[in-house]
Amino acid sequence: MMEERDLIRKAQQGDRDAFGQLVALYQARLRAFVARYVARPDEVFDIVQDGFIDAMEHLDRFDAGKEFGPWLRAICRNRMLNHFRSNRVRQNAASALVDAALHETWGTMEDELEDGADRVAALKRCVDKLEKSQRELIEMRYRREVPLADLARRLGRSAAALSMSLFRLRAALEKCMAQRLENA
Amino acid sequence: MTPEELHRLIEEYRDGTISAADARRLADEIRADGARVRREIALSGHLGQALDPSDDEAFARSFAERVSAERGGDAFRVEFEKRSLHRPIRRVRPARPSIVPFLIAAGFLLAVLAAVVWQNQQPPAAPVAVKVEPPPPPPPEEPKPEPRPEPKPEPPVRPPEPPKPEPKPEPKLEPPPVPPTPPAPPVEPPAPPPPPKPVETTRVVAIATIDRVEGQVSLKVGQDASPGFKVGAGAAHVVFADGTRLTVGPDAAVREIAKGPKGTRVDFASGTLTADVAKQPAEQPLTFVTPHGEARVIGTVLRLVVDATSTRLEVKEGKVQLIRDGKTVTVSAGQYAVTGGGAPRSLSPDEIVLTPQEAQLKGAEWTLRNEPKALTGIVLEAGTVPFKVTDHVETRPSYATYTFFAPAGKEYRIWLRVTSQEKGDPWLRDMVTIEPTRATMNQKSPFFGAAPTTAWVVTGVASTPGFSWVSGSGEEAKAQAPPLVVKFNETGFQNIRLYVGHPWVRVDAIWLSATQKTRPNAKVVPPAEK
Repeated sequence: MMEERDLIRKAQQGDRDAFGQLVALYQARLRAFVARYVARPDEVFDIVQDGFIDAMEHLDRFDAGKEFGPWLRAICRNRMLNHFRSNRVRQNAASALVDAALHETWGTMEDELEDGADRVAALKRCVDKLEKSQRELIEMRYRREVPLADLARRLGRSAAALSMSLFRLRAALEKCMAQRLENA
Repeated sequence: MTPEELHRLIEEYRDGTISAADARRLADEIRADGARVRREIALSGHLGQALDPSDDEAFARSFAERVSAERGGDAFRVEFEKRSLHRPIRRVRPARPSIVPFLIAAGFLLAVLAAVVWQNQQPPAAPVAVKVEPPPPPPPEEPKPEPRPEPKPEPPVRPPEPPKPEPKPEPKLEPPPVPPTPPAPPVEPPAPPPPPKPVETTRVVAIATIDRVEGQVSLKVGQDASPGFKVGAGAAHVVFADGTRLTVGPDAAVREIAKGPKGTRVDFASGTLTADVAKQPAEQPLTFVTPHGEARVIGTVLRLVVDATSTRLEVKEGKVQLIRDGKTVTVSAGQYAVTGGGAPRSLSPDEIVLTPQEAQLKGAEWTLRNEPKALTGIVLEAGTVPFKVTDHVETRPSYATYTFFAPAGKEYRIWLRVTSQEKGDPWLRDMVTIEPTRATMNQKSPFFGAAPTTAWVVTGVASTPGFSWVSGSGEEAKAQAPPLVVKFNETGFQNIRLYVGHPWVRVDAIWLSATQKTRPNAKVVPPAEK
């Protein structure tokens, strides 16, 4: 496989195969980056695809002397801002208060420079170690986005008890992830 | 704020159920210690990614298809798929003698590539009556036993505080069984065909939930979809436990979703439904039951349009068996079939009419509105946009997409039934941009200079009061302003996108006609597809 610099140069000259290789190279990292801020997997998928389309359209503007990853992340960040703006009109006033605070602190964290792909990979391994019922619970909540109240009703438990179970599971997964990252 | 409390507030924020007081506390916490809150939110997103089955291959395939569909970039798509996919894409078709010479010419080394190209050069779909198969053998009566859990090589991750035993020894992520409910009364079409025999299922659990809603819909996210539901002026997205997803369009009605030993049944009464069906066990298919027949699915992407007299089935990927009166027709990818009327309809329609209810809305710029003067009582209304009409549409985030079946090479004149609600300067209220994809237009819009685009800025929306039919400029009566003509490059599903040009423009119907060559009078109603 060609070096990244060569791929970028060829893509800028109109080599779409090279751009395809760049997509394959960066898509997981970009999805992990967007997933820092956007929880729904299908929305993450759309935002990153939109970002690649933008990148393809404006590749001639990229300075080949700079890093490609941050440029792609900047494009996805703009896409996320559009996403949040369009979401805002559908949200209630209370959620909008939280959104406003999140936007105020947008971009102030050092760790935003990382994409988080290693965290996703570590979490995959940790989730695989969960018991079946625990995995199903995590999947329903964080992949299928089933609301907590509905999930609690299905399981015949109170929302508070279920929230506590999820809290413990998340803590366990976070610990497992940290250990894996440390050992990597 | 304790970690447990922060977790609870974030979960409520994600569900949209957070109270105003809690929202203020969470906002204060974000301002005080943003990194902490971000970590929690990021963990949710990363968990979603860790559990997401759409891997590198799925992403690459989806991206390549999207580029192909939206940009007409065949060369890019072929090259991209050749390099990026680890194995052939899902749309595998049986070999046919007629394509052997093509495959030989393409060469063995390019066999996979040739298959992809061939898929996009398929001839028009075969008519419904072309292939009639005997009904499939009855599926087994006994449900399959629960699969045994696989042994785990390593001990499971445990929560830090070993929780006390759960109220239920083995919690199931499904609602408790509900007693069978009497079936809904059948909807009788005006000329009632003999109702198809429903799949024998027993409703045991809620197997599908409302995952997302758009527009003016009274459904709630997370609501059990099994008892059936009606969609108002919007759309509802339903997700099944196995990952199957349905998009149910405006004014559509699902009577029931049930699961039993013979498979899953979706009783679909009317409207438009798009499905991305996860792989089903061969003996337990997913069956869509409409008043005019059944569509039996093992795993595919399809679209169903049900009106009072007919059911139209369009298959994008895989194969679907369409059954009526004991006769079965297999509909393959890129084909469609119609049942419920008399003779099968043409697969190369002269008239294609697209209504607002069929449009998939992305972003917030288009809204569905009730409009008594519209052909179907509903219009798309343009909102305000930060873009100028001369901005290229490729990177615009909001648009309405119509998806439909049309053959390659046929010339269709484009007619839009439109009006404007704005009473001010007509120069600020009479534009809308239309973009057929994977197509060739007879004219190039002067608004986009030399850019290689099929997008066209339609003007003349406000040239007359009330609704009127326009094509490119509303001046199609003049010889120097011929109507827009589109030819699609490939037979199959086509997309037309609408972008907001000026706010307050209302779009009723889009009529693609092979016969209507002059501008129709405002009162003309397009004929049914034929």
